[in-house]
Amino acid sequence: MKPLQVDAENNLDQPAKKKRKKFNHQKIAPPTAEEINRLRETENVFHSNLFRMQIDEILSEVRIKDHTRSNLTSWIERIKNFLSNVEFDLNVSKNEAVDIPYIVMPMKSKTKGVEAKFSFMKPKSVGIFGSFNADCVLKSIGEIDLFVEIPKQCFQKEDYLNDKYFKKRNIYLSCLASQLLEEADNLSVNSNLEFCIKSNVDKPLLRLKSTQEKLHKYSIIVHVIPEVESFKELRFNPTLNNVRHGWFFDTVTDSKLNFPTPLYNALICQDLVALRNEVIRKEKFDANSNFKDAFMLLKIWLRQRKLCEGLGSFSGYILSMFLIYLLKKQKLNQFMSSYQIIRIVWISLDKTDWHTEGISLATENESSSAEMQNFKSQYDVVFVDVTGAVNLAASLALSNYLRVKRESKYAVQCLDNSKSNSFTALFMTPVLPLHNYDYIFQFSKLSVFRKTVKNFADIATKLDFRNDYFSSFIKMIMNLLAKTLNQRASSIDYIVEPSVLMWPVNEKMPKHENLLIGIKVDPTHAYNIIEKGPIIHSSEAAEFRKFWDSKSELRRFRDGTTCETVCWAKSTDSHRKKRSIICDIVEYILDLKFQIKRESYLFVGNQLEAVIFDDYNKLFNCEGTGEEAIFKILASFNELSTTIRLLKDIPLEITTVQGTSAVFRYSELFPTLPNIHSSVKKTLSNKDTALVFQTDSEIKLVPLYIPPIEAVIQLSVSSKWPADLDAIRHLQAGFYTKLASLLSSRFKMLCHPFKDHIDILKDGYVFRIRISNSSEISAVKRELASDGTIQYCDNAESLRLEKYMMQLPVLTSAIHGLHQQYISFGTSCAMCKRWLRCQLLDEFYFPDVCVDLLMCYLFLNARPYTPSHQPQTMFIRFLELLSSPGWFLEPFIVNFNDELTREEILEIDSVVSKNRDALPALIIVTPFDRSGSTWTSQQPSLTIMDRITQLAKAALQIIRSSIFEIDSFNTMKVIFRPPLKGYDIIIWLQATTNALRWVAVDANLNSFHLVKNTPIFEKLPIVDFQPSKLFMEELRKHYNEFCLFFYDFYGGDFIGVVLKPDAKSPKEFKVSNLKCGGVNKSKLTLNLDAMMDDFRTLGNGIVSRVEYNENK
Amino acid sequence: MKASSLGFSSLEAQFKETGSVPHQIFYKQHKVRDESNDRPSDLTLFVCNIPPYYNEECMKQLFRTCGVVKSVYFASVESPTEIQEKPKSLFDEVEEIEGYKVAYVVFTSANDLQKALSWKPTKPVVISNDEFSLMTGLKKWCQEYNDSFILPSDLDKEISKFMSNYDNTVKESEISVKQSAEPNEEGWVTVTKRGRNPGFARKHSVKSNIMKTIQRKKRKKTLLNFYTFQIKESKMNHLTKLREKFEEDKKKIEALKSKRKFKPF
Repeated sequence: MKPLQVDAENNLDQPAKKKRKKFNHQKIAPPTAEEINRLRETENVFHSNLFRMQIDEILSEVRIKDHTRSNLTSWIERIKNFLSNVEFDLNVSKNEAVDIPYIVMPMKSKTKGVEAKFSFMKPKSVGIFGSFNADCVLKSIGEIDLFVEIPKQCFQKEDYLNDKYFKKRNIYLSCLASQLLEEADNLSVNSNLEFCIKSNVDKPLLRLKSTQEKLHKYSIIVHVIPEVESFKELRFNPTLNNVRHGWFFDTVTDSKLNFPTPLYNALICQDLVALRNEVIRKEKFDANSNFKDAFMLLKIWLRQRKLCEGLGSFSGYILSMFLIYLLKKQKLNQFMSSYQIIRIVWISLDKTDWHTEGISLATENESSSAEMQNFKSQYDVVFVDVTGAVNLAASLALSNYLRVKRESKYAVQCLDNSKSNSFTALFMTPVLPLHNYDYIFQFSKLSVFRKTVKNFADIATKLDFRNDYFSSFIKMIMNLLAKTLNQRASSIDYIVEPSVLMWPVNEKMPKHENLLIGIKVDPTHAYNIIEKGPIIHSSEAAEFRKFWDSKSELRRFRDGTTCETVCWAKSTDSHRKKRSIICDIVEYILDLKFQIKRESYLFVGNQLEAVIFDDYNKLFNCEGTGEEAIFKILASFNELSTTIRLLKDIPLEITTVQGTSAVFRYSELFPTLPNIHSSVKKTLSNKDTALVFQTDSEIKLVPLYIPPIEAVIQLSVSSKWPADLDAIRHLQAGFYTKLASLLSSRFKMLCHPFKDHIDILKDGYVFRIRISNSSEISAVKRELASDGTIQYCDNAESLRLEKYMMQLPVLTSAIHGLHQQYISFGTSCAMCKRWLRCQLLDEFYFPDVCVDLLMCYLFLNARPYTPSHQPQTMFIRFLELLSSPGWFLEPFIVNFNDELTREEILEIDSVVSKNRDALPALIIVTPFDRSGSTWTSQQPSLTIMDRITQLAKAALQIIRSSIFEIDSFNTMKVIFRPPLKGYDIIIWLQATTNALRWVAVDANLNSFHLVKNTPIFEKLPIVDFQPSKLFMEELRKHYNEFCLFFYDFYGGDFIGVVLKPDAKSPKEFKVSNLKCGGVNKSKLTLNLDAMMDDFRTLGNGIVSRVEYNENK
Repeated sequence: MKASSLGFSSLEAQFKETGSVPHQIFYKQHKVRDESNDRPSDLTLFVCNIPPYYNEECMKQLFRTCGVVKSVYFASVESPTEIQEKPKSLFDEVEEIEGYKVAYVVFTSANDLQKALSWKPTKPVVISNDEFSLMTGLKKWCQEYNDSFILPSDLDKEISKFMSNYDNTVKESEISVKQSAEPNEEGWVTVTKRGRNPGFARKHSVKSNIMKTIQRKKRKKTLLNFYTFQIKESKMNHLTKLREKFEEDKKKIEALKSKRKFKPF
């Protein structure tokens, strides 16, 4: 490159043409072989170029750097040397209490001592194994697994029985800890040694941290395992019993009682075969670097989903062994790229069924199928190791395995979707339970676990888990819930928090105490109000009756059968009620089967719905979160539209009637109710068909707000429309008057025509209908160009018309379709709107349609989640979406019906990334609007989006920290209360003249009296009259230059005013600067007091006072 | 620059007698080169810094001590020469001037104007008094709401009046077009788009369509894969496109990197 540039400079005097040619030549340098290879490789073996680069970046981010690695190795070497020669003087005889200096033995429950003698002996060997050995440690986790082999002399013949192995193991570990503590300084080990529990309570591990500054992120995890020949593997066959009934319950029992203890057996045997598996693992991993890359990527993927940590988890160890399994089955080979490997692993995880078939790494022989039967009979999930002796997935919970399967399937779907890059969703985004599940139940009382297990667990479980109440409780409750919810839930998972228990070695072992159970629903079954059981008198009927107890009753169905049934709600109940059926079922069954009362656990799922529900609707005798009210409006509208379409005697036929209000997108916050009207009486008089105000008297109380429900009609195409805009408008107005006279004479409907619309009253709703006419728009666009030709140019007015008359109806019907698929859509939108509006960001700053579109985006691009059927979950995801700066980096592509093709999306992407700064802050692309700026071109601005980001962050934090508390709603309500801080001027409004006073967050609803019946209407009520809205319009129009105004349209009692930064600075005396100025030292300055007085004057009758906020 | 140096005098005006804060209002004699008949310079006062809600009546009240105001024209501060039109029919929409505004106050006699120019009130002038009070706030909105209801019969009357007018004008223009198609006294014929050979419509879209077809035809004529250099070039172009894409992706990665987007945990 360089010589060429010099060349060009030397030849400055040459003609320009030649120079350009040279430059071109330089640009298209012939491709090198390497480049072509890379480009081709990318096309063939990776998803896309970007995906490949992203993979490279993330790997370089998590890989340990070479110099750190050498530092680490030398540190590990020192520890290894020390441990392999460690001496400790300990000889314990049978049943003697063990006391090790500085250490509290990690025992899960009080025990008498070891029921066998034990003396400490130097380890047989010490070494590293696991991820560090294979060079696949994730830097940010930085855990290095070190094994210490206990020599077989430490064990007696029967030590595999009755917990003795675990006790000895723990003593051995404590001895090591004690010695390490003494030598901590010499070994540069941080003296705060910790024990930790990862996947099993029986096997605590020792965790060392380095004192070296460079290595502070890393830690060594010490595992102790028995020498290979300590026990015979046959002893641990899953069908055998190794925990004796008599010993455990301290009774003399019949020796014939033989309960298998599969979990116990597997735990010991896993330690026994660990090194033999490790040999194969190391060999395969070392052979191929792509293998390591793929493994690291998969580990990141698991970790983001919290799947590889905690009790019963799908550990990285199982994952690596599965990779080996796939290699063995020749599903993978060493020529594959990391991308291909992860893809195949996901596909195989999805296709194999460890819970029904079981897989094995062992070489097959005649007995292997019989052994597999043994394994299958004892474990939920089966993955047999290399030796064929042990199930590697013994402690893997079935629910976790199923979740891995589900997530794998989903991951493959993400990869296969060529229309978007799923990298971020797969590897970068943590999947949080609160954002993931529809319902979460939280159990955090130790007594509940203990009582339930003691009273309701069977003997086999008790023996196998040996006082591990927490794990056994998980197993019991998961089984129960799976059986109870059946089809209603698409998945039931559990999450243990914290996933890894850690505690200092000189303290007592803590207990797991926080269990979350997350449920995702299957919307086709979840809201069934009855559970239909078997036909009466059948054998299943008795079982069904036994399971549901008194809740089960006989019902006769339409098809003539009589069945056992359980009924959870009435068919007339609201959607909100139906959404909580699952909660009711769980509550009932937990009490019935385990006697766990409602007070002992927490339910998270619908608390926040109260901000759009609560008592507001009760006030007007309508329950639910607004869905029912919307359905009623829609039904009424449908009737109206058929009536209108059937009208004869009109100049042009009406072809379509389409709604445009938020109601038709199901996302209206507080949809209007027909009986709101009756709260008005006095101060009104009649004018023609409508009620109007009496302007001669003082207006004290403004009637409650009735929004007009807007719709557009389209007329059949006609060539007779005049070209002149005024003429078109007059003709349209003529059409309105004609329509009005027809409707009132034929159907006795109350309606009133206006210049540009018609208001029709039906069933207590006021429908506002306009004509959508393309000739009107082209008339607005029409211009005469300089050369005399007629041009059609966009202008503000034409864009506005196109937006509301043409695009909005199309968008509304698309969203209507989306709502049929995801019925929680509307309520989710309503919650988001409520939050935004409560934070004083009104329609002006963040249009309603944008909220709807963003919600569509969340439903159509839910990754890494799946669309939720619980509005609250969607609301939390909405907050998450806004709180990350992603809205600026990429456009939101709402691909309705998958209409946009991959090429189109790529083009949109590149256009956006090239002109990012010139485009609006928020870009929402739909198939109907490929520019993505129709709804966002004016607002929200960058400043507003920044503010929303801050607010969303704060709100999320509050929700996360307080949602798992009792009475969390009242704590969380704070996110719906706007702060007074940050405003220069505050304009306080009177409550009585606020037409939406009843929906304010903290409204005192006692002051409103309940209205029962829909009144009979004689006149059109006062429609679309909210004084504070009109006030805001005036303020914005006149004072836009100096201030920003913030107001909660839904019952807010103040307007916050922020002065623009340069508003107060002095200006030159010029006519164009003469705006609310006062002369001060020959310069113009803003006359703030006079402006505040203007506010008072403009808001006469609704403003109570205007305050200047001194301490902003 | 001082107010007086531009020839402005100032006075203070407040909306109500009590509890109101005065605004400073600047004014001078209206002087422009091409004078309109409505606003002769010897009768007209140019007033600035007027609060948005002031109407004609307010201006009359403001200068009531100086004399009788004949008419007031408002204009926006940004373009002080474009004055606001007054509505003539129900369908005329008057755009309200946004924010602070200027006004041309026309007095009935030159004497009054001189009085106003030399006027130096000591106390702020009060606009709202016993005789006049401006309707603002809730009352105004209620009134506007009431006014938005026009009786359907009035609306119909207005529409039919406009449409008959419109029809007449259309008819007249048609007649004039027809007439011009016939030779006039000197024998000239105006060629219009009506007739046997109407020619292209004078529309932008038609023009651009024609241009497009010409270009398409041109493109058809050229051979793309004829010369070796063309084939070579197309290959190179493909390569540069791939490279460009690569570079674009690289940039994207850099942007993500700078936002620390690759730290998974």
